[in-house]
Amino acid sequence: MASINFADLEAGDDLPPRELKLDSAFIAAHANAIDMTAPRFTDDEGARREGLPGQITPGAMSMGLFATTLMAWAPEARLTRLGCTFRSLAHAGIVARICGMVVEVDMPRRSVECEIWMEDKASGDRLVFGTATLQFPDPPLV
Amino acid sequence: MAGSTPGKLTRQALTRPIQTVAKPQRWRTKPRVSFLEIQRAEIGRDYECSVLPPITAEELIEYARTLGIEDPLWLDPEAARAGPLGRLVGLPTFVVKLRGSFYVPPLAASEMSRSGFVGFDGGKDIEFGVPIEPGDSITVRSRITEIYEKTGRSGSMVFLVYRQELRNQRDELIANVDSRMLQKIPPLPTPTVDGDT
Repeated sequence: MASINFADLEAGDDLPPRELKLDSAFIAAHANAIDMTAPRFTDDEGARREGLPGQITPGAMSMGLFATTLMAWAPEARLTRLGCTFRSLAHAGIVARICGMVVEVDMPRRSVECEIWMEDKASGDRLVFGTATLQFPDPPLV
Repeated sequence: MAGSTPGKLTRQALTRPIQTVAKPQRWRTKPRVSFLEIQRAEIGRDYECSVLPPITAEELIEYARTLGIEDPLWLDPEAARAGPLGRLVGLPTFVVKLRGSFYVPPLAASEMSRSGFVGFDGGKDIEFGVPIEPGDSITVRSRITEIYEKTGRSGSMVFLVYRQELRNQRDELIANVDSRMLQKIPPLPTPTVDGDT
């Protein structure tokens, strides 16, 4: 992904959308990596035993995917804040689309506020909604 | 580290035996302990101070790898040494793994432990500090910051917000993680009229 220039950023700029399949093995591997091994995160059968229709994505994983999306977009910036609301369950098997937008640029502080969300590509339903702050480094002295 | 500063961790605090409270292990259909039963006086008071096992490079790499990261800066200590930070660090959201314990109301600890299920995870707000590194020994301090009710289209809910403050062995802030747990409030039973049995 091409590097972005802080000076060129404006409110309303879109982040490049990212699509990824939330397949069962992908979710289970990450759930294990973060010690969230409840059956609802590891397999359909376990999730059904817990009263859910099937395996779901941990909210913490959605936050990780948001962070990596933001960091891929602005690799030189530092993520200083990320807030998320888990609105709906992100079921295993869906194709998730992660979208974002710049909502505020603070030129003196060299920081950027973004909205970022995950939607189900098929239905368009927003599953997780978040806001983030990115801090850009000072420009090199000339 | 300023050992005598109120609110700051001391070496003694870092080495004293940690409080052990049961972590919720299983989802259950109904919460047995309502957030509304928690005493207001407990809001803002630390209910936990735990020192977690040292962070390993392997778990930082595993976290990145299972998010689909392919950049060797996050996966290969050698490549990271040649990178901008000169060392391997964790992705910022790795802190979600560093959970202390969920709040257990003192008067209902046994009941909470038995029921396990505490509510739905409504969301998180994380303020990130310094990066986490292999070998870091993280101290987690946890406290409830807010309990409030909200009524929406799906009925009434009660929210419990708790903060987990993560600091490394140099007392540097790694992250403040604010989690919002929610419980649905069951509707009141339909009142009976006089004469009904």
